[in-house]
Amino acid sequence: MASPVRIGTDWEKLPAQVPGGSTHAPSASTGRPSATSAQDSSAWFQSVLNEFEGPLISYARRITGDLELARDVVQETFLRAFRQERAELEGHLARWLFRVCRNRALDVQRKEQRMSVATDLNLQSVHRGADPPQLLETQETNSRLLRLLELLPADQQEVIRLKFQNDLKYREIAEITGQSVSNVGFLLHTGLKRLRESMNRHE
Amino acid sequence: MSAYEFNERLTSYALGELDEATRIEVEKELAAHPDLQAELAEVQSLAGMLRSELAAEAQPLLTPEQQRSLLSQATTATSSDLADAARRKRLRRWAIVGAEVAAGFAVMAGLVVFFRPPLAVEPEIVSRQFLPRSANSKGFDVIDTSSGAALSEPGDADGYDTMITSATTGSSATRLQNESLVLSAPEPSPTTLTSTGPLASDMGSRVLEANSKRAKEAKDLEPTVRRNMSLVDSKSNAGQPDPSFRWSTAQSESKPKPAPKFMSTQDESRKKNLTTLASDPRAAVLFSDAEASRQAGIDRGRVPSELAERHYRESERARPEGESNEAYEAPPENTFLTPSQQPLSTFSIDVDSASYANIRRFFAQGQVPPPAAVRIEEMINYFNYSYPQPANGEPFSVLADAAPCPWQRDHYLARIALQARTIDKAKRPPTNLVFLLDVSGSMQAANKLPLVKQAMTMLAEELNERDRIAIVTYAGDAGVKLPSTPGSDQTRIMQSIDALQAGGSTNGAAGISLAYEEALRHFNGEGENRVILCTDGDFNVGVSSDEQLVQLIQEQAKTKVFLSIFGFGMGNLKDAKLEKLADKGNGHYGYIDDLKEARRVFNEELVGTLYTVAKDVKIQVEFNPLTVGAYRLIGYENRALADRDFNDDTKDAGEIGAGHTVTALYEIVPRGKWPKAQPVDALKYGNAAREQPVVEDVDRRNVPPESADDLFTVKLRYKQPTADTSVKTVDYVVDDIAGKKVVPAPDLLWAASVAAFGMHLRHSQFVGQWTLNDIHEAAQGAVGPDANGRRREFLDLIQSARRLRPQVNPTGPGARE
Repeated sequence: MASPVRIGTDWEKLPAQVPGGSTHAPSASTGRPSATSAQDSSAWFQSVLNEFEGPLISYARRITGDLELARDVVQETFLRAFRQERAELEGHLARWLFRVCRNRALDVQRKEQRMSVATDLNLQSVHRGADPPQLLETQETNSRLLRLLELLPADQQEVIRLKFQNDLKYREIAEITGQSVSNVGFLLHTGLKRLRESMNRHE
Repeated sequence: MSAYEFNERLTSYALGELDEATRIEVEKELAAHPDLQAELAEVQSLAGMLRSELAAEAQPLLTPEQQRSLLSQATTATSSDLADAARRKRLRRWAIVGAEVAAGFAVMAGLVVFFRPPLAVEPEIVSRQFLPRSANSKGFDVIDTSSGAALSEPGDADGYDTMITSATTGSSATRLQNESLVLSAPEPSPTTLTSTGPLASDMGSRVLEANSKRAKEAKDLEPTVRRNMSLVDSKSNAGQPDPSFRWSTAQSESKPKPAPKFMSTQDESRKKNLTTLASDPRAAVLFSDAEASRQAGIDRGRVPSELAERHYRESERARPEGESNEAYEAPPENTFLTPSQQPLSTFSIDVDSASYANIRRFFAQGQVPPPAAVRIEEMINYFNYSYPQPANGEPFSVLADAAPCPWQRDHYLARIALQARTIDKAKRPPTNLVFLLDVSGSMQAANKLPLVKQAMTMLAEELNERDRIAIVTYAGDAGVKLPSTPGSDQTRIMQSIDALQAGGSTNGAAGISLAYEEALRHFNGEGENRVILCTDGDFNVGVSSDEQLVQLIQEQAKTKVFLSIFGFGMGNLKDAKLEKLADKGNGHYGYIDDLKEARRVFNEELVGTLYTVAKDVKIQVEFNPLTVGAYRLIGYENRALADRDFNDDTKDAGEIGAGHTVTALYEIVPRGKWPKAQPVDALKYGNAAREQPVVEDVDRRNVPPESADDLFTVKLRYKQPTADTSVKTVDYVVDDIAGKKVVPAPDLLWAASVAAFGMHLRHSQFVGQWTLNDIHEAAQGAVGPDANGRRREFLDLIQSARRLRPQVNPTGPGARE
């Protein structure tokens, strides 16, 4: 009988292959751009889509308040991205996408506001961070933390999400939202502080 | 620096946003004031929580059509980009020329806007026109595409650094309930779902590698970025650089939790990554900071193994249009219980039919339904059975029997069936109906509001002067579109139906109250009062949570107005929520996937849809330990009741409509065949001689001798539709069939086939020996008269499933076909 495999303290020296296939290069498998031929262009498009679709739609949805509109906005965003020279986007793709998406979403949302009859949603305060709008029903979340997050002013929420959900740096968030880096830091700190206080209060 | 300012800086430190010099200062402060470290720890812990919880949020995707169109446009775009750009330039020139020519009455800006091609608007233009300028923003117009650098202008940088200083791992064992489609991977797969050591280190190492690349980048940035500034807002007058301290201790760049391991694997993996990308000159750009960390972040949010991620991707792509926002909940399937552990099995009946129609919809699109959308009891109850009608005055009849289990040798299949009395359509009681319609934008699709209108028309045609119908909408503006009108006023009714239009966002709560008010205003004591809610599920309500909505419905349910919920179309179908609401609202939940189903519900089975013959119907089964080794209720997982709830009239249960049937199946293992005789290994560390499991000894004294040969006893309770106290029916006893030659009745065989199919779709561990082929054969033999063709349609579904077989139950027994 073969001696049992010991999973011990030197796990980092285990061979790269993990049972079930190589889990080591998910980035490669999702099509990280690596060449410039035409087929790879579409592979690149696909990989950009895969990576940013979900985050952008969620982001746009928070701004527009409507999933279908958000999808339209994100579609347009991608189209614009694909019309750019790839070299020009590389290095700050996320920033570019989020920024264009945001601008378009705000644009669309403003139009919707003018068109629609009285809505319950105070969409105008997306930027000014006045009252916390219930932009979206938090989808059946069990998370108290996320529910508390919903209560923060919109601009703090936006910055917190961009930071912790989309892993963007202050600098990038600043560029996306059109604010100064210091403002971003301030919003983030204030938001986190309030979250901590709310969390602690209900312990 | 004030305490607040320092704390803000501490936050930035915790998030790795400080430049070298500022960071050093902060660390000095931390060393000097240990209490600050507690503060820091709190921030870090909150950050970690936020990351993991946000990562677990479901993210809707583009519809497959949108994706396809995007990709095809994108690929054609690249080839015609130049042409486009040239065309744009030309158009712009024309616009200017045109304006000059038409000076005096053409607005130049207007012309420029007019000539702008619809799609390919460069971000420059967008940003100039629409970029909001907040008070602090210095603004920037153009994305600097030549350098990767950010565009903050001098004076903006406040000591923030572009380096990641703490690689965050966050928990990757994220909850996947919201992303229920990932469940299409075999459920018990712990190895793929948790973040194992090597993988975590890989993500971390990629991040750290990016880290070092970014460090290089940062050094290339303009000196303004690295200027050491205080953190105060630029509004304030502070701006003096803090005195900088020199530190002798080198600070390591990252301090993630599994610290030593990260450091050691970093080099190996980095080498690996570099070599694979060495051929690519863009490698440096590829793994730039943001992308790498985001990839790690996004990977964390999804299932962090390549296999599962690919599976998820495929299932996402494979979904029918607009699926991505659907929400299903699935309690785990019922397992075998023994009578000594659990002698009573108590549950509420269910006549919802949504799950079957929903499954049918998936197959119609060539997709396999997600296991979480499969409710076996709803599949079984979708069909008509030839059960006997109840005796006069009784709301329903009860039938119970047992036969050998077709899919598992040695097991029995027991059936409990209810048949509600039918009501002749001509003799039905008067109805007071209110249609509550979702007319939000998402309802525009052809299989939503238009279908609702058709369904309503079908129903309205059946109404007469004794009935009333009203229409209330909710969608941004909740309103009464048709006040309660006698059924005879067909013109007015049809016109109102016709005039319904979709548009706007949704606000469910206001609509619900209005609808009930309207129903109550014309409450009919001798007839049926019902609110019929038609929606695609996107309840964007003013109340902020499910619980409040459920409470609202529960309150309204006390008014004796019943509620039916019908889901239409797809894309936003909140299956679980709608089912729960119908349950609480004393109603049932159906899903209308096409016109045929609409006709079934609103025309053929109209009386069943509209008229309740009994509500709060509960079933309690007691199994005899002398004959039953173990039993398992098939389906009804989210209908389970506590045993004491059977006698508790305040506990809600399901209602049964005229002509409806309810069938519940138990799989029974006879005593003597349970527990399964699996040998148990001898212990290595303990007493080598281990006891083997034996058939339990049951005290015969507890069982009255005349009942010794019972298999089980069924008890039922129900309430008259407007009563508050329940009535108990007689008990029904089923005898043991051991040693007897019993052949399953055709209807039982039919129900068994449907159940078996459902089990395959749910990846049940109890599918037994039946393959999809076997199910099809058995079902074919039990089709019976099938006047409305629904059973034959089910046979087609099995065939569809067989064609999509690999996805149905990849590791289940059926896969060996």
